[in-house]
Amino acid sequence: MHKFFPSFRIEIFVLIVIILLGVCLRFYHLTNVPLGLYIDEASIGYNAAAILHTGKDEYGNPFPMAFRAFGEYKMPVYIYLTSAAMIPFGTTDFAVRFPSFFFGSISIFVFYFFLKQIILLDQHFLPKKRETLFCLLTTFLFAVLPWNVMFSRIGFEVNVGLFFYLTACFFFLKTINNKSLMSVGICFLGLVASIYTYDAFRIIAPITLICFALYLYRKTTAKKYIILFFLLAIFGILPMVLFSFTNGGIARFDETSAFSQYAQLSLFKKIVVYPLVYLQNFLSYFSLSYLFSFGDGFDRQRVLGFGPVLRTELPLLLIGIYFFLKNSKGFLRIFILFLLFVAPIAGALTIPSPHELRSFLLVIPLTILTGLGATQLFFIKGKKAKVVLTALVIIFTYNLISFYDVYFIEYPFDSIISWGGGYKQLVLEATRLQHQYKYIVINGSEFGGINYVYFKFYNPNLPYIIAQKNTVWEKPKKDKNAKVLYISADPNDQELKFFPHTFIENISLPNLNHDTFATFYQL
Amino acid sequence: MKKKIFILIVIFIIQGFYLQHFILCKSFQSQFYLVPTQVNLKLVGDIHDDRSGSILAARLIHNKLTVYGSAIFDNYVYFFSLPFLVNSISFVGMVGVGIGFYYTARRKSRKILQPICLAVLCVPLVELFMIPKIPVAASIILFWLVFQFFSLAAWFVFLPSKFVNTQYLLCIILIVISILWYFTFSDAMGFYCTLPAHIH
Repeated sequence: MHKFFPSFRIEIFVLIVIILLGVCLRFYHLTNVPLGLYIDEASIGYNAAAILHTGKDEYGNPFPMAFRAFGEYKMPVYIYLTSAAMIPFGTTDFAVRFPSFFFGSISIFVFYFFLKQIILLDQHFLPKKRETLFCLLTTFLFAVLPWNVMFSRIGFEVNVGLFFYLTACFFFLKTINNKSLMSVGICFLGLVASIYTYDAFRIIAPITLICFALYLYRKTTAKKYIILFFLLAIFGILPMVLFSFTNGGIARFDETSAFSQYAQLSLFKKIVVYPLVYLQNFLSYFSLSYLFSFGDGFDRQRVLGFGPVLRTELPLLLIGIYFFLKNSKGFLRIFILFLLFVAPIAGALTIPSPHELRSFLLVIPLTILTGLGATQLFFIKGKKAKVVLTALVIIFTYNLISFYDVYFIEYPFDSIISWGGGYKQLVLEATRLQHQYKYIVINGSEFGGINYVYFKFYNPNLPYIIAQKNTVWEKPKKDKNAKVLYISADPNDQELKFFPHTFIENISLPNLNHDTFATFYQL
Repeated sequence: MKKKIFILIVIFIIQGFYLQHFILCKSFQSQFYLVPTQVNLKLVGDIHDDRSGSILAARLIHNKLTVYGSAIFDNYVYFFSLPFLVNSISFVGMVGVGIGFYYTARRKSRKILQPICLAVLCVPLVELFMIPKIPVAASIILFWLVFQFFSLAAWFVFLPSKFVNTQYLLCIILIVISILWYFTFSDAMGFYCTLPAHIH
């Protein structure tokens, strides 16, 4: 019993409130914030629907291990989860984002128990009366962290990957604390699952797997079980490892490699330059202006005026780092530092660096350290300290409310172009006009103009023809007089000068400028 | 003690080489200093973009206090971003600054570290508000002097006097990285300031 949380019941009650808050922040206007599906989300949705209805992906491969999309391959877990979500919710935007929302929400719950296991690693890390407050405060910070909430609201694989990784870490600590062999199996299973979920975990998870296995092998007596589970895990990741060495498996890395601009150097120079380039990228992930001010600069995940972590969390983080370095020792210290340094390990291999998606795992150690700082503040004695604490709580709350105000009210419209917010309206309008025209022609290719994948996702039955860029589409000779609906997103579309055309309507975005997203013409 | 002094001299020389690059800067990028006109324009833009429909809510979220607070915060932390420190005072210097902060917080060697730490925390404020008014070379030298002295002081406290051990090994590795970094990323300061054309 102590002054902050006098009973177990209150602790559970506060935890439930935190989880509900986290769920609400993730669920509120899930399909409207961000406004529109991003091209990757639409691709995931289309492939998920195809798998659900035909058992094949968009290229006709039955139940593939990696889904080909726009010249690269997507990891399969999220797509299969979306297929499952489409059973109750149909082929909708909601179904595409549901797995991310669902796993993001239960991550809060897992995170709380993960913290409980962390504390058990070292009895002297925190005084007994601070443990409950630490767990609840840190879980709260995890539940409301902008970085975490934003990625729990979009249909990207990384959030599910984080859940699997977090679960693996929880069961790893449980094995150490409770000597439970079953936990080893679940831990390794979580790591294997994360590899099949998001690209970055193809590097992070095998490293983690080897480190965890080595540690457990040294510390536990049931060595043969550790070896057995490790071999099973290796067997599990083997298909992905083999795939990673194929052209398809390495396509994404080739596109984003941080070393590609140094490829012309001699071998000797590469040996010197590559590690330095890697180190330079690695350091960028710990840049304060990246974490607290500007993020990675991508419009699609940038809430104007905010970074992925709230500015008011910086003092808490600094206090947390100080107390962590001062109080932690042994395996607890190594484990947190491991999480901190393993998080950007994959992202640092790529450009642009830093990148919020590829370093998403940082939310775990950063939140733990911030939570530690916040907990220490609550126990500082003296009148002045109380005043400072009260001021900090007020400023933090204000900062948090400001972020969510901007995020829910302004961000959807600020970022609408980056999210492809006009596509749904475009496809619905094309569907409405479909019967008046013999052909629907869209101007665009895979990498520019109007993307076909939205047509596949929102109305797979709508027949359309893609007029590739830099080529002139021609009416079939037998249908010279047929009416054609021509859709273009390019205000200076050069193809139009080859046809007599009539303007039909603009698809306008609901942002402040009412930007024209696309234009419909009759040819 | 001789070994320690020797290492510190090596660090000082390396940081001196970094200053050679740094001093070539003609002007800092805008992230480093506060431009009231820009901040005011941002505020006007934020209020204009606000869709909450309530003047009270718009004023509560977008006001001078918050927009200036955020701008000062952003400019200030830019001085402490690791990539900037690595390129301005070297890798070994950046780690030294980190060690210095830790020791200051732990109140170790208070008489040496605390005053320099205070200077380290204040110098960016001077730069942030004054850069347009003082010559850029002067502000660079001021910044470099304060930060590198803090770093050297931290290394002085960190390195033991008697034995050559892991601390020395760490320091030597960082020195090697700093030297390689200097030759590899000779134009890296271009991210933070305007360099003369021939550097690129």
